[in-house]
Amino acid sequence: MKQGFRQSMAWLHTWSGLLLGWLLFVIFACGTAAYFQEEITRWMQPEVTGASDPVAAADGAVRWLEANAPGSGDWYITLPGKRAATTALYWSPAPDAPAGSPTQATLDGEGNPVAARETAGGFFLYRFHFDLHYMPVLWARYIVGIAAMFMLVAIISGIITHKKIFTDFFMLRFGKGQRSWLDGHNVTAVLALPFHLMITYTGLVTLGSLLSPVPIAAVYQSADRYYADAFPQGDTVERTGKAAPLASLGSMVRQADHVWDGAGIGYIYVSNPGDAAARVSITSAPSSSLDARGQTLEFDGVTGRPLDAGAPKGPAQTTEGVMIGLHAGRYADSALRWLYFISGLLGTAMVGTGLVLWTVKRRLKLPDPARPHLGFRIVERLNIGVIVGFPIGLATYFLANRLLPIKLVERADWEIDSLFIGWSCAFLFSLARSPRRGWIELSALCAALFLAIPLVSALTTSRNLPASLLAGDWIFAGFELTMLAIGGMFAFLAWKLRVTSSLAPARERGRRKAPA
Amino acid sequence: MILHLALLLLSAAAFLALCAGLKRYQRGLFGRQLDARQSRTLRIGGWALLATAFLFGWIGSDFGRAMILLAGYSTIGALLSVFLVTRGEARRKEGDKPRGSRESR
Repeated sequence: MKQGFRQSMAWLHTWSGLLLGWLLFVIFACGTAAYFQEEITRWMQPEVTGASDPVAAADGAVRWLEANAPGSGDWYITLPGKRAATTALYWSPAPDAPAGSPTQATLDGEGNPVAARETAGGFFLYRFHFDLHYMPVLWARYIVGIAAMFMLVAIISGIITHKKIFTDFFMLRFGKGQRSWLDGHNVTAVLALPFHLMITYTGLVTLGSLLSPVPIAAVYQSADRYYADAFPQGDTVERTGKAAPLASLGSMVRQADHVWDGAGIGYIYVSNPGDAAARVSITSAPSSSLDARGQTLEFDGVTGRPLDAGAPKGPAQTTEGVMIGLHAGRYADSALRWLYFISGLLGTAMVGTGLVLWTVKRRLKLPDPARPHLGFRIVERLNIGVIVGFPIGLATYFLANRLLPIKLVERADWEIDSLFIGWSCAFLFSLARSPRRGWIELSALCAALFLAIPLVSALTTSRNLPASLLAGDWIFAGFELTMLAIGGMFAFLAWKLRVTSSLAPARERGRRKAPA
Repeated sequence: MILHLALLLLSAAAFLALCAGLKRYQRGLFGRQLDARQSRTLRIGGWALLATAFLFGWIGSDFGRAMILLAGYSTIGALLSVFLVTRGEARRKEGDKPRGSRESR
């Protein structure tokens, strides 16, 4: 029999949501955490304290680079801002530099190397969100792009499938099995629907040139020419070989900040430093506008005078910049950032409840629910291993930051490895237990790990939650309170699952007796 | 900060009014069904509050940010409404149960 349109959409919604649902869960969870990547990094480097002055930081960065990266052709400097307290430096090595010589450093506000633990910080969670890990970046971005397409299909088909989207808008019934999971899925999906649509669509825009290469290939002979047109970096100036000191970078930072009405500085690019042909490009802080690409001013590196502004951005470039800005939320103040975070959590819960709903719905139709078929068992174990296992990995990542030896070689990599070790252990544990026990025990473990984070931090560093609260240090206190809240949520889940599972056999007996 | 607080309160009030205007949730919220006129007034009031919230956001920031803020605070307002409706419904059901059955739990 021919299926109706809504039934076809329901089928599409189910399978587009399930096939890459586990990956989408991880992408959503990391993307949500990434809204606070700077704050997470600050928590993961407790040795770094205080705020920095961007002007002093710029001059300090130049002093350090002149002494430690002589002969380099390019410097990239990210200044501290309202959220980050350190200056990040990247440079291309000098032609005569030995192989493997360093190309990056982190400085404090005065231009001294930061004496802080090595960490992958919040930046790893941000990159993992679209670059994944242990695989080539290009492959990862294709996979994430395809997952985002599936997500968009799942959202649109879900809207069409949901017959009573407005009347069911506020409906959340607990303790009703499949109905409760469906309500949970609907509530988390519908309440933040504008966010889910926006974040998925703009996520695809961020990967636009990768996922849609044909228009670029039709217009440009090479990818380099496309990038030169799309993201102009000013005229390329050849090195003259004539030494000339760089003008005060702090003064250029002050000028740029004045032009942008105090919007703040994002990052600085210096080409040919120490040469008569030095150029400085200063880009405004990401928080200054919805456009993630910001505005750029160019200066003559020797005189420190501003150069002619290039051609203004076209509407397509501005649209793309605003879409990326909307996705990344870098423009957002603290309150709006929390709204992004809560909406991201709802998105993560929407994917999680959708995955669980798939099994709950099908369990009732199984010929023998005690012995489900292989496909069902795979989905069930993947659900436990990802929905509870991945948060266990995240908690392990944060705990590893506090527990790994400070001087450990490749410490940041070990932190990342800890995440995957914790996650893999949770996965293996879920395979060894019955699904019901797996859910309860791993939820309880997850709760314990998250609740332990503030405690372990207090025992291993000079900072603790009560002191942070008293000092009004909201970055530290906010992070640790969030960890406690997530721990509390998993503790509630474990308790609820335990209560439900202890009632289930009695209900089952009741159902069996009823017909007699 | 005042802008954020105003938007939160207006969005929460708007969604509560929209929710209260739907027959399905009135028992949970009020313990009885409202008549058609009251329901319509609540729904119109809800939409008016959402429009007011948007105007507040527009005046307090700009058109683009007002749209984003409204989307964000609407989510929080709607979440609060869901919480209140769910609590109200649970309390009503608890109240409907005979005394003995509550004690036996």
